[in-house]
Amino acid sequence: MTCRDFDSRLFDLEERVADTARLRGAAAADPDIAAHLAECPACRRRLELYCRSRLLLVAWSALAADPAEVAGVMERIRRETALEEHRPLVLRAWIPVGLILIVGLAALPFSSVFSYLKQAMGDIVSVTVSLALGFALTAYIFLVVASQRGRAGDKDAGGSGVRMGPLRIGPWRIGPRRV
Amino acid sequence: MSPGDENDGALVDRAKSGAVEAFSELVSRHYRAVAGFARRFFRRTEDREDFVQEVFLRAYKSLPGYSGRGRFISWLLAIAYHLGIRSGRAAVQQEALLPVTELPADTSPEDEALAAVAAEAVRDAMKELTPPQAACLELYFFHSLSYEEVAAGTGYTLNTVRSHIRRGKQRLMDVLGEDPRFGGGEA
Repeated sequence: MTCRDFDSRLFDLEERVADTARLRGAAAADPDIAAHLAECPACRRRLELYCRSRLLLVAWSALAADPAEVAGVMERIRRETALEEHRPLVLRAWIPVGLILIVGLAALPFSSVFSYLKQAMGDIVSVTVSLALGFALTAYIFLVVASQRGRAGDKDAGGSGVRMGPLRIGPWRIGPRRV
Repeated sequence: MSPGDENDGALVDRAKSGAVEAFSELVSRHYRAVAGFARRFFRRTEDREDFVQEVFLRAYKSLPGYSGRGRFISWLLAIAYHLGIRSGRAAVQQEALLPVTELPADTSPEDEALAAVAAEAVRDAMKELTPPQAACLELYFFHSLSYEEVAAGTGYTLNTVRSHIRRGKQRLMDVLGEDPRFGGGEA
């Protein structure tokens, strides 16, 4: 086995072991790898350095953070969450368009076209327009409220501004009830 | 039970139901991991701190959508990866990956030296890899993410991740073996 073959076998082994801490033991238990390690001091050293360095780097990564760093993150979250809560109403493109359509629908009974249709078809035209207007107005109000409420988070009673509530979709809440 | 005794899953559940201190504990646990990863993208300390805060902020906002199926750290690093890639700074990393002065208190002088060499070796190995290859190697090597977790986080296929990581590991072994401080390059 060449040193290159050894590396390849070692990486295969590491994929199976899935734990660097156990890699050395697993390598010693594999007859081919163990035989190569016995005759190749360079690969013994490389394996040792590889395992120890990875464990050390992982240990560094897992160290707890400085409290000041954590405080910095939490302060940023508080600030950004508070900003979002106080953001003014956003005028999305569909809001004025929807408003114009609803006003147009509401103005329809006062037009000459409506009088003509009513004469031709009877009261069914009035009923249809009323129902359409009612449905459109309800849907429009719902969409406007839902789009704006989705942006705001809950506030703590103390007003800290940071509060992670359950998932909110429009006026509904999905998740545990707040106590 | 104090927040420090809980596992990530329990903390995430509590954070989802509004417990700020639970999220604060998650930040404390994983700050270093994200900060280490931020070194890939930013040279200046202030930029890295800002990046780390942004990652946790996004995680906080996205918490309701976190299913809890994978490990929290892999989900968090996936956010960091995509945010970092979007920042377009993937090629910036030039500094040492690991400040050895911040190793655990019980680290021996030999291990400190080894950590310095290892950080240098990872950096040298990464110089020859493309940014996606380097990112995969780092997620795997520094943060102990499995191949599946790296694939889920980066969006690459499992085979692509495997290929990236193996190439990185091979280069890493070569660099470690050649380091004269550990008797390398003698043969």
